[in-house]
Amino acid sequence: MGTRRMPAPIENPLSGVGVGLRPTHYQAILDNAPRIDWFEALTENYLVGGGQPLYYLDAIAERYPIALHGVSLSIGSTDPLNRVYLHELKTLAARCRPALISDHLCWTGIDGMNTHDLLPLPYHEETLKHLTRRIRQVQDILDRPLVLENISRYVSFSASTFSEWGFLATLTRETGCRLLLDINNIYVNAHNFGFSATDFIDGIPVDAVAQFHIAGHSVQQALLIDTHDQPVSPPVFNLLTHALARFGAQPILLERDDSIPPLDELVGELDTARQLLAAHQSNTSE
Amino acid sequence: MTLHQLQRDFQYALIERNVSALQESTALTEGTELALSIYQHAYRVRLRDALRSHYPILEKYLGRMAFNAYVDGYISRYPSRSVSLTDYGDQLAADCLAHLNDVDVNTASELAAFEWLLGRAFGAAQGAPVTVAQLSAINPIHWAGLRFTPVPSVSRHTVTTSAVTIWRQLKMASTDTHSPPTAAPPITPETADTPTHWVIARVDLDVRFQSIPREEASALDRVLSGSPFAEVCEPLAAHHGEEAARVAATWLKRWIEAGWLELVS
Ligand SMILES: [Fe+2]
Repeated sequence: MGTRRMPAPIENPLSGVGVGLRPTHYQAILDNAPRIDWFEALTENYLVGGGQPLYYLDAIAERYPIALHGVSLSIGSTDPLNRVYLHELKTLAARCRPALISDHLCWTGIDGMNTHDLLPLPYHEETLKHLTRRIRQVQDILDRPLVLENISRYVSFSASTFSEWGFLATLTRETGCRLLLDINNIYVNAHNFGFSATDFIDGIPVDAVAQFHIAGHSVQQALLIDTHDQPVSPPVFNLLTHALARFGAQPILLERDDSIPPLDELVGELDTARQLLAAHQSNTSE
Repeated sequence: MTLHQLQRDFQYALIERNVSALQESTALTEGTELALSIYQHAYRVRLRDALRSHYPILEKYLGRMAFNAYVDGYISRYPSRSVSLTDYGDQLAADCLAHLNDVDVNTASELAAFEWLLGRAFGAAQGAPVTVAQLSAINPIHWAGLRFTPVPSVSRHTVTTSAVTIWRQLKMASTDTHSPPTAAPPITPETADTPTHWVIARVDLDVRFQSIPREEASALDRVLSGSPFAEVCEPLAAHHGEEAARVAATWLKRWIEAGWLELVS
């Protein structure tokens, strides 16, 4: 394993605080040049031939750094890797030159079907081997490290032999993939499964993290649900502070997928994230 | 239990709304009823939202309740097999003919087909539309053999109902925020005794549609299916006599000015 070629380093690394790129904001971004450090584009929205999606992606990628964030890689599926998808992803990346390409540590369907949901995996040796092989294949095709996000989940598997963070840590060591640490998902899972969110963060290797997500969640009976339709909650910001202390000033992305407000209404949350980043940077420079 | 079997059972629980195999396998830790219902619900809502975004006017035509009831069945009949939700719902115009009740299914189906084509045009590739200048540079003696294909956003839709009129009325009612909801004109499915012929195309970034006369539409259909230009002219002779070639050339110029055609070299 030691002789494997490591993927090329990430070019044009992101910094600061970004926002998920949503069609309702396209024109406002071009007209008002908002003070947002970068945008995260949902890969599948741009796997089209042309028209508005690619027009706006091109225009915004000229002005801001971009990350491509996918939901259909299905890296954990026991179906074969979708080579057509990977080829289209690579073509899209050549077009918008993203600072990083991320997807989720999950599976989305098998037997040729797609549930379009980010489904959980058991954390055991079989999954680890399966993922290790596939992540290496994807990294070879894309010729760069894959960045994988920890998902929120509402079930756990009796066959799991690793903690979630132990599993992620092993996977990044085995494959050289990086992690997109979703702080809200850690918070949600910690609440739903009764583990300590700071144990999770402290169990991740310090050099494995390429990006953070922060988002809002909602409550349904005993469970927290990762709905992305609410402002970020104070405990999630507290956890972000803890993560910044461990992983350094990695780029932060504010996710909002539902009940999307105008861009200027996201500024409050953006400012909070920026202040946390700035506080972290002044702490570490003292 | 293998990872593959676990995924089979899990997916079955979502798509078939049946958790028994998954629960009997004891693959999950205890207390999963609420959790599985969250996954099952999220699965259907996500696909339903995709269909609502692809068929917004059909939803208005049927009403929210009837639309939801119908798409719930569609989601069961057609699990998604595509990478992107953008491509989900391509069977709906055909499917609703057999599965919609208490509504004029032909109108609903033509409305659905129309909306689907609008959506296809939205994200289609730009293509390489031939220009009038390029055509003029070709010696007219070679025109008879010219072949064309539609640029990727272009499609033809023949409508035998008032589906497009209804689409327009409901679209106007939904975007005109100044008038109260009751201001929308009443919709009476008229019996259109002659079909109408539509061309859907994207011009720059905007999707447009326009109707063309029957005779021009059938000539255009022959061009779009790859017939050489001479075969487009021939059927016109019966009606236009000596003028047939000139009529066909006039249409061709119009289609090219509209940016609908690519030249097959
Ligand atoms: Fe996330």
